[in-house]
Amino acid sequence: VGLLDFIVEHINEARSANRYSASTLAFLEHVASKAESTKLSVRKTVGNAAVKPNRISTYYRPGLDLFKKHWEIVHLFLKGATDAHALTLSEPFLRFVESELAQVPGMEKAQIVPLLTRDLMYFHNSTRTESEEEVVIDAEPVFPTEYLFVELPYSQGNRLFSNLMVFHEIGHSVFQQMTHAKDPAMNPWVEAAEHSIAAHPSLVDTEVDKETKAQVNDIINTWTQELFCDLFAVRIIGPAYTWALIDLMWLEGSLSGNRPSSTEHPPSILRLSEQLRQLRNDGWLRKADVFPRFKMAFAQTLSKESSSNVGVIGFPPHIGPALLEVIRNVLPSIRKAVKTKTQPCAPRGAKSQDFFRYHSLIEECLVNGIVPSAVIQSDRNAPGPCSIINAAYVVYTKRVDELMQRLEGTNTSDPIDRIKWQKKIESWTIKAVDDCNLMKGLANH
Amino acid sequence: MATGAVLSADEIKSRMNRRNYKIADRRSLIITPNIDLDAVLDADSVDLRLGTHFLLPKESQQPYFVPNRYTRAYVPLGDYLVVPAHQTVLGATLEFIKMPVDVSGMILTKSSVARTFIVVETAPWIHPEYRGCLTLEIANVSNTPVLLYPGRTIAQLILLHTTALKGRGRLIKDSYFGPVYPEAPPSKDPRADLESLGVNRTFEIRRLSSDDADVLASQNRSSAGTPSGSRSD
Repeated sequence: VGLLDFIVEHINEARSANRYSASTLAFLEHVASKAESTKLSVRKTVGNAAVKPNRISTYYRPGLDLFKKHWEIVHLFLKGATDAHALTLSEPFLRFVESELAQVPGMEKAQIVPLLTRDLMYFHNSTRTESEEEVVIDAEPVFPTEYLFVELPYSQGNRLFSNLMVFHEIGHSVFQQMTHAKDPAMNPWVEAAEHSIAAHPSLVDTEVDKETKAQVNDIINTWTQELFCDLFAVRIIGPAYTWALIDLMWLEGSLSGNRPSSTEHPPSILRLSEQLRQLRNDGWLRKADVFPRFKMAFAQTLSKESSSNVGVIGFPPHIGPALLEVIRNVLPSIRKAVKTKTQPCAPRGAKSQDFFRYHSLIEECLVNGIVPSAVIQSDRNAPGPCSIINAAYVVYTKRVDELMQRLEGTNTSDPIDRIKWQKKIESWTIKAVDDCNLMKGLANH
Repeated sequence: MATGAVLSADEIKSRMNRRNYKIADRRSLIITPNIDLDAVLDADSVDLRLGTHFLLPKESQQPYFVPNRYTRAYVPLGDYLVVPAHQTVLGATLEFIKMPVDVSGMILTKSSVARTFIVVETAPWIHPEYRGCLTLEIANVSNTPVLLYPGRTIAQLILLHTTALKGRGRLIKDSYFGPVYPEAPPSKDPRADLESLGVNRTFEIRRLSSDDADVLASQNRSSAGTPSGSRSD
């Protein structure tokens, strides 16, 4: 009860001192009310236990233990949520992500609750216990399904392009929703994985011990989920996601060399080649010269890595290639599942078509220091936010010099000067996305 | 057009028309998002709306105003911000403006807003070629709290023709690339400004160090030990 008291005080203090997004405020209010009701339940349990002491060990104590276990999970989420004010995360960006997500079947009411992390990495947070149970207090879930918890590194809160990783993280929520709803799109995927593992000699060999076999299954599940999330993000936000991922991989050092893969993520060569395939299918690479940086980074990665010698940390050398083979057999089902989920918000080719129609105009705005919502002439002639973000990423990576050369006293080779103008490009882009949402809202009104 | 002449509605529309002036044309006027130009255009001015981002001054522990201590706040359309009586906040226009090379601008509080004792602009001049959302220094000078609704018109922009700026360089000052959200002023050291005038000594408020406090305490003690009005040799 002392802990619950503290939680309520902590929420009240945080709310009075800081400003939060609507989704975070709703979550904090929900937790505070749950804490109050749990306190009353504990009081009732203690009272009942005094009357029926013979049921303490069989009924009342296990009940209190369950409360404790579930509040430990809430405790974990709460601090990240109350610290999220320090991210200075762009609200229009969050609204944009939510509006894209609202078009994904099963995610119509999703709200993102950002959490702050000290790691230089983005994380999705599952709100379930280790045994995949829902956290329930007083017969009501503590985490209503519409809340999606995404951890963002504190240093990237106000950046636009690195935050595109959020699309990957919400892919995990979509995956979870599909799993719990027993979505039929998952069946061929699961079957392909089981069949492919069973058919692979190095994975069913009698010399492979039971523990390793279980670990192999876990890795297959994790890697296929990661690939699902990558493709989900690419279909929704296009190549800008791939660039953001390359930047992040470079920052944490997982892009270069023949580093063995972790058990958490598939090898970067597989991730990038699969994204490239998706981008090509969606029509993004029909004028590939628009994206020189992507080509360069990708070619660099390909030249350094080869799928035949992919290793996995902590496993014998033959396991890596065997895992890749299994994954390659499962990939068609993953692609199909992604397509089913994203078809309503990203019909094949529609986003790239919009991009190629408007990107020159959007880029022209940005290299002149103008918010690119200026290209909107009427409801029928308005680029989508995805086009704005991708064109902005082209300027961000390729045309910053052009912008800076229009200004007095700037030095294009000074990294401090460059980052100032790159940040400006990000802020103009977020403003344009916000304006587009506003215009779209008006058009639907 | 004569220098100093106020741009008419027709001239404003013409400058905003992409057929006449491309986006990158230095003479183009851009106001975006352009929600409903006819609704906000008067004979000689354009109404501007209140944006959704604010900077709320934090209470200072110093006995003077500290310019860069603010809390950021986002107020979505449909929600409101309460400005208590005699308090100030920084806001910005919802519209991003790009000024033509031959036009200066002036932003004024809309009269209907001014009559609620809200003053939105005290540094109203906008230079040619400036681009950004205009920061609004919003002051509630009334005796009651006032609600501000983002998205409502709050100010009006007057545009004035300036000389053709012949010979003006191709390059633009980087300070003319303004923010899209309200921005706190840079904290400048007054000594640097005054030194250029030859002022070598500038008074400032200083916190007592522990040494100062000891000296002061000993002075107090010694003055307490000297009876008032007494004389000593």
